[in-house]
Amino acid sequence: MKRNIGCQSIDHLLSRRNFLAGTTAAGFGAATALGGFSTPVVADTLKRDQKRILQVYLQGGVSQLESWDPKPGTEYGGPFQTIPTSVPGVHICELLPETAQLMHHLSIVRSINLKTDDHHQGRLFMEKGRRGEGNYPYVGSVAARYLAPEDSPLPSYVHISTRGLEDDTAAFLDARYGQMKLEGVASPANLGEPGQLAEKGFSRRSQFRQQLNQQFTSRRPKALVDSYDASFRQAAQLMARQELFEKQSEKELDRYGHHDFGRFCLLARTMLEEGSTCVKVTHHGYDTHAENFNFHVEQLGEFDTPFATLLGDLQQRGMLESTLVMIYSEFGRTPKINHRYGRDHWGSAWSIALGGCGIQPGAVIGATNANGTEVSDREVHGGHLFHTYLQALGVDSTANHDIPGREIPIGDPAVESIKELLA
Amino acid sequence: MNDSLQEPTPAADDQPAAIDATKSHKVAEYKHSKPLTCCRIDPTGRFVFAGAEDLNVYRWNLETGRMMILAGHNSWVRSMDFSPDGQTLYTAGWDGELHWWQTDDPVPRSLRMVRAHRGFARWVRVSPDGTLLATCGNDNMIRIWSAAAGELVAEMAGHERNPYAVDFHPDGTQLVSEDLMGNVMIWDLESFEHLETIPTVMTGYDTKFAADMGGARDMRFALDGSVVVCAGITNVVNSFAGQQDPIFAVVDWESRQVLRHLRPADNTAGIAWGVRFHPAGFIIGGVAKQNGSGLICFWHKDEAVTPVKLDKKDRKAPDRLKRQADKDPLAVKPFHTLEVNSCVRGLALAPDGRRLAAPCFDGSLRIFQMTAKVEEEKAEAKAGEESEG
Repeated sequence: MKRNIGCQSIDHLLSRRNFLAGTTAAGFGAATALGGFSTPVVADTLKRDQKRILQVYLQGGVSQLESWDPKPGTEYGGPFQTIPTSVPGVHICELLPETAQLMHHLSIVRSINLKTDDHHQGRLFMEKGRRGEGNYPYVGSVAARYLAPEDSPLPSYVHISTRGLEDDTAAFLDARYGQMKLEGVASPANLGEPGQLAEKGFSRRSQFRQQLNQQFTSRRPKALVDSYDASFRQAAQLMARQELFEKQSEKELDRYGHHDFGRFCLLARTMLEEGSTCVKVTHHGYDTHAENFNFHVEQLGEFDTPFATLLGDLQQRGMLESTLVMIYSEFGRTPKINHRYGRDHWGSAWSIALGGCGIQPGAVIGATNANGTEVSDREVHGGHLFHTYLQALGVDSTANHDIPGREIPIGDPAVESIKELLA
Repeated sequence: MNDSLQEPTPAADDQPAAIDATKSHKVAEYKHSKPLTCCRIDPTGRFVFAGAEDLNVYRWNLETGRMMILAGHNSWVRSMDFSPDGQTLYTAGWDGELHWWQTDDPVPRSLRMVRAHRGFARWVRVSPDGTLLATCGNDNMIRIWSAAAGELVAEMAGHERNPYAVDFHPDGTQLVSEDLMGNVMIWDLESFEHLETIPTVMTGYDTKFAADMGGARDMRFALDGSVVVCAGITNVVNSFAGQQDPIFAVVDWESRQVLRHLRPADNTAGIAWGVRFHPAGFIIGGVAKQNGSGLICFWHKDEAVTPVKLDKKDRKAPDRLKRQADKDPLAVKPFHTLEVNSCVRGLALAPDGRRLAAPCFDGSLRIFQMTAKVEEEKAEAKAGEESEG
């Protein structure tokens, strides 16, 4: 496949020697050498050039009518008003006042039709770019595979959430590109060194494990052992960076919010700054079959400030140009309002927002009809979006994964990216 | 203000049938194309008004059935109330606006609008003397307005989550409000200061979806001010699917304690959307069931305000148990229940105490009469005789 030159350039810009020189001495193995970008030049270079993804997943299906495609005063418009944004002529729901002020960094796709109203199928389509259960990697794993430096100092694909399914996100890619789940901002369990094992002893044990791996691999499929080894590597990386999970700055939390989602967004910023390639943050609570309006007041009220703060920080730190920002769900919600003041699942005509790396800012792609029941212009689905995400990051999504013995198209060959959305 | 109610008329041969909640039956149904959100009957008993899931208020003449549209809001109307003389209607909407209307205006138009809250204006109530309006909204504020001029008199901060409803004590000196977390706050109307907070079980945290649900969907003081009843939810199981229990918490004004929990007869899931005190000595509650149908429940007031004698075990019962209808030591079951074919989203009483209006999800404004059907039969017979004569 074609690799992104900008992405590759990180390997040229940063020699391993420089990398090692800029790290702390603590830690083990590769993680020891790569723990933290304390050299400002190195950190600045990474911030500028390493392409990354920030995924903000609004689990359960945020209502497009209460977020990116409001239709007040129409048959199914609901009770909320629209507000103007920083992009002239673009209005979004009043529940997102702070995000509205940063819309010049984002674009909206208002014409998604997944043809599914199922949580699982919708999520897979949005993550894999393919319909159904096929064994394809998530966009986060693909990004980790093609964008993460070989010696990534942290797990390259991190998911911050309090709950959720453990997905096989890497599929046929190496296990090291799989998603590592963090249960909130707390330090992962057993991150400390084993109590009675000195640093030297721990290091010797790691070496012994690797020696056994080599013997084991000589007689068995390499991928299996690599998978186990990836787990150890990820654990070692985090053990070397325990400070990431230490108490978050009160001053920063005052900006982000002291609730879970505020803390998650602050940790996401840290993980992106420190070298993770894809950081996914899940905000739960949008499956509003009942009390849709009150819950959107609550949930988007909680979302708006931390997200806008994070987006603003990425921009101010010069990271937004190299960070693709995705705010998405598995589907939207029905225009029709049910007897519980709820909206049900609706994959037929809904919206997401994208911004940052490779995305045309301030655009609105596609449209729904007057009452929001169907797409009226530029219908797209998860396949189009998948190509768009990767091409925005400079990855040629029309190329193949080069898997031993076979070639697998990265994106669905039957569809293309949303070209007018690409910068 | 409280619904203007007269004492019920005793039954006699030449008098209309006596109030009997157990004989309640539907006498009229006004149809609208959109689900209804709230309703009130004006103090003269001439009109019934309803809000809907659109931008209008609808006024039906109870005698002729003629409907008029009150256009002026920019979102759904959630709450309405009347001046004591019945001449002015006040409406609060999800657009944050508070509107003034002439109740019997032949061509209804908004006489005044103030932007009462940032976000929803969830509730409006008129003080017993008619001089003040109280509103609450999504900016977490309680605001007091002059009814005559629409000027802001005071604003009261203290709720940390959205307040859903307010009501004036009948003596006019204090106000209550209840928020999403089930906290009933008491405010002094001279100093406009917060006096006290009474916690209730009318809230719940949905652990699966990581969100709170709760709050009063209606609040009413008894006519004598001895208790206030808050209608809402409890026992949140899966609130995103509507799986929680309706509850009417009876708060004793003197002791500032929750006395009893009024519950439907069966342990149905849903939300309590309306409550009224009837001068004949019962309390009426409207419920939207999770399955899409509705209930109107009737409880004896005496039972509802009688403290339950708790044994040692029940006294220590945690709120967890008080939330569950079948284990709640404070539970009171209704003496009568009326099934309704659609979710009931509020309640209103006619000034004669005989009729009850229920705004429903299916767009119907159902009018019930709380007497035996005899009265109608007599009237029909009489009308028949006159026409024949």
